[in-house]
Amino acid sequence: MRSGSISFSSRYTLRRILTAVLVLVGMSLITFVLVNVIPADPIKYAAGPNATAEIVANMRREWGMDRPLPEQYVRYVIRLVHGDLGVSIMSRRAVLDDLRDYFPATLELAIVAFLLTLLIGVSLGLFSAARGGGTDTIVPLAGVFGGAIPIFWLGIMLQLVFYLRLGWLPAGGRLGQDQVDALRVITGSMLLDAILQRQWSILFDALKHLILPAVALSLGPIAIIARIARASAREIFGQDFVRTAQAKGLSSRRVLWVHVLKPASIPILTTLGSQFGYMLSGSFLVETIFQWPGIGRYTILAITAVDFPAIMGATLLVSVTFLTVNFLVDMLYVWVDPRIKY
Amino acid sequence: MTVKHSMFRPRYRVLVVAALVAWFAISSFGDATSLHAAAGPHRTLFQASISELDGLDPAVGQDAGSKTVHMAIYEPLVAYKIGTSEVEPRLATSWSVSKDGRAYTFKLRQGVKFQGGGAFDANAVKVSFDRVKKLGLGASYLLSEYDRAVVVNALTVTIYLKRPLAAFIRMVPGIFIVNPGRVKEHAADLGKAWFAANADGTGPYRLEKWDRGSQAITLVRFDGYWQGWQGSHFDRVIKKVIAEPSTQVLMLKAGDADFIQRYTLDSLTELAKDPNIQVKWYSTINAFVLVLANNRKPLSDVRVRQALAYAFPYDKLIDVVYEGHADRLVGPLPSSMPYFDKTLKPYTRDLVKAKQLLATAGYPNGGFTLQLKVVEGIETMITAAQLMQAAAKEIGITINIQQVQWPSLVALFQDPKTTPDIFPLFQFPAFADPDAIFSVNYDRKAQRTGGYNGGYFGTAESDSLIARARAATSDQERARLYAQLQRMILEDSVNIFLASPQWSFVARKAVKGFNYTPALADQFPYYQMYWDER
Repeated sequence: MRSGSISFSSRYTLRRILTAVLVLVGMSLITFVLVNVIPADPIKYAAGPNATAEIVANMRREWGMDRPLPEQYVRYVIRLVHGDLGVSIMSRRAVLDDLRDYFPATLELAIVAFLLTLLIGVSLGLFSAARGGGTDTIVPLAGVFGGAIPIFWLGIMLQLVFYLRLGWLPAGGRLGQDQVDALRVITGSMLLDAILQRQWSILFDALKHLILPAVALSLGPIAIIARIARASAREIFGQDFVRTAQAKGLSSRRVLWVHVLKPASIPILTTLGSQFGYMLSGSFLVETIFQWPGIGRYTILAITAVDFPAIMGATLLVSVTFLTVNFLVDMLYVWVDPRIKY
Repeated sequence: MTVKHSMFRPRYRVLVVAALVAWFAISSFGDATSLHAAAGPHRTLFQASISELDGLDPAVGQDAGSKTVHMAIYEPLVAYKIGTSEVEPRLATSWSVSKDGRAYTFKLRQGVKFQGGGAFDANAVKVSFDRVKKLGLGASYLLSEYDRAVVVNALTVTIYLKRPLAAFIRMVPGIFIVNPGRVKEHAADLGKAWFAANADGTGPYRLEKWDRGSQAITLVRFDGYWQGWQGSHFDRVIKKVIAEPSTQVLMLKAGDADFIQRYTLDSLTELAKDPNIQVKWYSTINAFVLVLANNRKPLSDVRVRQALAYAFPYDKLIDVVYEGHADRLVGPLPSSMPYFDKTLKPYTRDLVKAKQLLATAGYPNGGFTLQLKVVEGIETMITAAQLMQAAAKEIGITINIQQVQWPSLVALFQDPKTTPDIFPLFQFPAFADPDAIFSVNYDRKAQRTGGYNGGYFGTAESDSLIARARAATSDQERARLYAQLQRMILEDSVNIFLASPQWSFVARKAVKGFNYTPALADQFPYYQMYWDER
């Protein structure tokens, strides 16, 4: 098989899609059963203390929760097939609309944090492995510290320094309030929307709002990736073909980026994939501290309110996200190591 | 290895320099002064709020955040006078009550316009009341006795009740008048979908934008507002959810938020020292109680309930949990509530008495175990639960504490079999009348799905007292009946009455015009608030 090309058998692709569908059906069933075995009453909770029995009954009927459970599930699946995720009890609007509002925020933050992780984490790891000696003890050590800093504490410290003391960066949110009013939502990504509408001051504002949460979100993953990249690159450095390449007189840069990085990248890719998956499912802590209106906060709020439709919707979205990321990672394996076949 | 060094060093330096340049470039875009409070007249009020609206529709959303927004966009016939539990005319100029207490006739204000066009009149009142009743959601509990509205003439309307209801006039502030034109346009669902995302009332502010993504709602002044804009008011109000307490505090310090709603008690001590910040405490009509399962042994025995009431360390709770910012709750009603009986004597900690009571009840050394369920993450409730646990141990009673989510607790206490032996509960009356406490927490109709009577207290006598006080038309009669009810519930030790937590207004010092209105807990009168740096 030629190196660099990606090819899957159609049987494989079909199998992947079928598995994905099965996983989603399974997930939805498990979530549905789980949220329903909890002894909780979201309707009575949402109705509040002053609601009369009649109001509670009206609301229960409105959300279809006066029906037997199996019927509720079947109705849910039928609606799901039609692209309808139901209505959230918390926000009283379509879950799909909620997700459409909240997911782009998480996606944007996750991509920026992921790029930071990729660039800084991999470079640090490779740099450390390549240099060896004293420098090489720094990365593992920093990795331990970086991975051990509680994200919550880090977030508050970042705000304290860069927002309150220095006044360089905003405390949270995605845009300053005046900018929010000036920007039309197209993609849901503030960066993209600002570029599309050539609103450069908004672009800078969005970037400024992204820095602190992205740093808080990526510090842990950077530490992990740096350690994995370092370990994996060191293993490759010891191998004969690298020594051969060096002996041929290739520049060290070429040896590192061409001969070492590619074979070292399988474990890096695996870890990056799972880290990206977690970032995409939204970090509740980062989103809470920085007022980032993302999917993580939405999910936690849905869980505390036992908002069945919202929990189901968010779980399905996260499942789809993980399946997609895993699939992409598997594709990248083939590209990196042509010996892998599906 | 030295070869490799040479390859990294220059590149590394370039990276460092590039990073520094980028850093300064970005940071210089927003220096401290431009990022924080902008110069010039302060015309926008920024509220760092707790939670997203429950509903923009005043017939639906009933949480304090929603009601604050309703109060800015819409107006009721009569409203609470800021800082008191008295009602005063708003869209009505006067009202009278028929002798039998069933008919309320309102004279309406002339020249009031809706934000979306059209004049306010008796028809608007009828449409709005009917709509709340027909939707049967949120605010409809206020109209449980509503029969019909009759348009007498363009500026007179009579509301008929099924039964006399003395507290009705204090409930009217919760019924907001919507533009009847919109209801007509969307007759199929009575405008339910339209009013969930749009607004059209007669109030001082109109809805400019509700951005669900950034959880911010922006209101701007309605130029045609009948009370006018001559005095000091804000032109714009932004209410934005800031979930994290420490962020709210930082924003207040930096001047980006004008007032905040979420903070820890510790941070208030520090904020109070800031010369630019005000922290003011107010007594409330809210009650914090431990609900006891009156329906099940051993707490069905009044002596056991009283023993627990004598064991609880009330002063410690107020000192430790509230740092003194709470009033002692004497009986079922907080002392700021109308008809509070001043002659009542509260239970105080007396372990000897507690042990005697247990002995007469047949438990000389305690020796039984009770289950206490408490809502996860609410520190005041958890500490109160722990204080109860420690106190009970001193009289030989074991209490097991389990933390649960609030919706789970709600499900548990809807069934007399699963309701916990003890659970802490905050009671937030929806209007400043004892009925808002008794009907919701002590009436037998409020058991199961009906309300929050999760302790299953109630006798024919207590129900009858609640009903009679509800219907009585004379003040003296109501005072007498409520005194009797308070005494009965206190002597029966139905719940353990802990405290009435005070409420704090935490704002920039220049924010003026706020006063705490007991019936409007956690709501803010934007139109009365203004900015004054003197």
